[in-house]
Amino acid sequence: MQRALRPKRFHQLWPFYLLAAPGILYFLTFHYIPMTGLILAFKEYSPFKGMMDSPWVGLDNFRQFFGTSDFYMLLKNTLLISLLNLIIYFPFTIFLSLLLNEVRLKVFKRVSQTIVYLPHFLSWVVIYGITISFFGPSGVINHYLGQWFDGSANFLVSNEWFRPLVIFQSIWKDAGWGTIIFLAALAGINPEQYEAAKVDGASRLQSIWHITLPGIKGTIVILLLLRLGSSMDSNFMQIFLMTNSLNLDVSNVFDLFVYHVGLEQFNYSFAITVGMFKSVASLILVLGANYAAKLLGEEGIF
Amino acid sequence: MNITKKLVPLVASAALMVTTLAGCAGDKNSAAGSTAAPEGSTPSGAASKPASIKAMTILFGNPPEMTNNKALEDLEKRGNVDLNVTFVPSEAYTDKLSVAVSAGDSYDLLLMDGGKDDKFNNLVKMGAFHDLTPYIEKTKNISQIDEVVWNGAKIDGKSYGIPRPRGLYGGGEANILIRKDWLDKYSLPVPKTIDELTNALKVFKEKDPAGGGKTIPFTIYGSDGVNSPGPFSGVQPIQYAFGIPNVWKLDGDKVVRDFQTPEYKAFLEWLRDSWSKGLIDKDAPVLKNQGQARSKFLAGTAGAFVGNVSDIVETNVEKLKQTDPKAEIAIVDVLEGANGQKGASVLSGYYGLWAVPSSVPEDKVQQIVDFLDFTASEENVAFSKAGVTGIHSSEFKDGMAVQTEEQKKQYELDKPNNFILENRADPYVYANSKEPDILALQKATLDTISKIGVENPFLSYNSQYASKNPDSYKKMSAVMTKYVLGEGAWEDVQKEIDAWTEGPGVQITKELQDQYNAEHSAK
Repeated sequence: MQRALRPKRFHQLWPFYLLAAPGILYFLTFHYIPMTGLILAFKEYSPFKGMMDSPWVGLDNFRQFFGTSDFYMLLKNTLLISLLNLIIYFPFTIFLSLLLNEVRLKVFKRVSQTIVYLPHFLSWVVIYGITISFFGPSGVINHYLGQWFDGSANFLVSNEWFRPLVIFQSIWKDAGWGTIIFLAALAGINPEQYEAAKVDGASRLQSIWHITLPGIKGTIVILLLLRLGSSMDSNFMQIFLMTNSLNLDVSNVFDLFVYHVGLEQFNYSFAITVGMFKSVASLILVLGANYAAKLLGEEGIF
Repeated sequence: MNITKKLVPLVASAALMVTTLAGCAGDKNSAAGSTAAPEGSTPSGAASKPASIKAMTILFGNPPEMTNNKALEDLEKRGNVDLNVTFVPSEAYTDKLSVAVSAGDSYDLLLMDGGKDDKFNNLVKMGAFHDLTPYIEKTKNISQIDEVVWNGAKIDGKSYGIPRPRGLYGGGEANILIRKDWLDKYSLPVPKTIDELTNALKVFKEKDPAGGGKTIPFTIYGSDGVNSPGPFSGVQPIQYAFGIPNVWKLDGDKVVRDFQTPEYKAFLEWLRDSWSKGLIDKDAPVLKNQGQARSKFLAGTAGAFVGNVSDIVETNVEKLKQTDPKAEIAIVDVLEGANGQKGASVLSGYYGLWAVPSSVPEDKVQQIVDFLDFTASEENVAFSKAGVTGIHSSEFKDGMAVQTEEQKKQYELDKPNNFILENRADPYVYANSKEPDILALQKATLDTISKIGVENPFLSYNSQYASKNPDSYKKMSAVMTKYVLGEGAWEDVQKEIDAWTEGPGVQITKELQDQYNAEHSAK
């Protein structure tokens, strides 16, 4: 036993290292080398001078970024949309998975699963089109509001409705898709537990609460951590299509800002600065949440 | 023994992957090598050797047939070039251009679609393009482009891009287009004044000619708040009827921005009043561009929209007739305000600048410029309309191609006009109809608006501050839209205008004025 646990020598293991080599090479070339591009955040990048010869500007880009009067608005809008997704969209996917899991009729389950997956494959442009024809100023809902109640609601052209609509769109498009991992986790719960609970006289709700939910707790925590890691990202396509001059106060997010400043105006360095800020903030969020999860006795991702 | 047996295929496949990767890298090198090779060989190449030119340009509609294109063959032979054009659809152009520039793709010629905007300025300052000034002097056709157009496109007195000429008047959103058949139905004249227009829109609203309450009297679209602060775009003729300047105005040495004028308030009030009466498309705030407004008009539900003379072309009328066989379009050439104010923007006079990336070797630049000059020749104006005689048309007569149905089809496939990269300077470039009557009307309208041009003194200057703060007009756009929609008071708008005047406006105005002064005192 003792011998087996001793670390093996390289010459014994070289076929395995060779197996890993393409993977390592891939990560080095496509993930680690591009990271050197981050130094552009401290330069005034010109594609024609190249990365090395572009002049250094120190922290100027960061100063300018944090100095914009809109910084706090951007931060608030970005985080709020993520937070709402976290407390509405995310539990909704769990809820939906539990519902699907409780369906006993196999055929019905398959059909309903397929139906809830489908919207995931529509592009955001299509979804925006559907949204306009339902919620637009001259859309279906406003048409009936006008006919029945003599009023109208500014769904797409007001600050108030922007966030609810964005969350609604996310749920409509992706909630079904989001259930996949949970359903996989649910499939891994030992059916004997349910049988035992049944014998002890547990009701259906009780077995969901005491067996199903604890059974996927680990998965929930890990997915939650992963979501936190991307909380500085917004769904660019979705937000880009949904903004207009009447909801700018709530719809302007970092990704949109990067698009306008970085891509439309060719200020690459500035865009990288914003991207770097986002990454660092996300890293802190994930590490913090991971630490908290471990304090609570969960596994975490590191 | 067993283990090694299993391992062999695994190791082999791993090794294979490594070699594949290496192979990819090798490919890249050889590709770079092949682009480098002609660079070395061209300088010695005399006129006999065709110059190979790789160009990227914007495309509206379907691309031309690329294999066995007789039009392209003909042009390559006459121009003594080996032409390789990448057509990028207009929706994706900005992104693709950005990628092409930053990735240093090996293009010899790029169309900067935004003209002399911040992007172009930035790129020129980064040293992205050749200074073409010395190469242009020797040209025959390009040098005929109006001095005003050249000056507008210059940076620090040098030409880094060759403008693709368009009319100085009549592009974009110069005229109101209105449903002639609806006007006739209610015995209304084609509006000449803002009051007549408002009245016509009111009648459209009341009588509902589209039926089912679907009539949209006037369709416009929301402004992006990045370049224009106003609540809506697609309203230019109306702005000029209120006497609003073309973005900027020089009042002695005082610089005035359009929204700082009292006329602008009157214009917003007209919008607010029209909105409350339901004359303006309810969807306007969520529409994103002129195309969407145009498609509402062509779908037959809207009574009026702002476009230009090329919108009365017969293909548009045909589209309209599919929903309403009686449909006709009238064009409002001049719209007058209460005190006789009127106007049409004097434009930069070009759409897009042809720039030669600095990665192109110097001795090839003249060849490229010469080719552009060649495409702008008289013979190629005929070519762009009639293609190759015998294949795309039988004859070119009075500026129009004589085509059989068969030839028309071939023309649509090969699209000879798409390969004419540089256009010939022509004030009637927007008059594009093949019907003599409509063509005459288009030309007459262009003549009319060329007499009422409103200039923007700062048209060709850029503010660095504004380009780094693209959101600086967004708040203003929001409060103005709210005001028009009846959701806010004038005080809110005034507050935003004042905030701009005392804040970012100071810097932006100064930057623009400095450039203006530098250029005007030098003369």
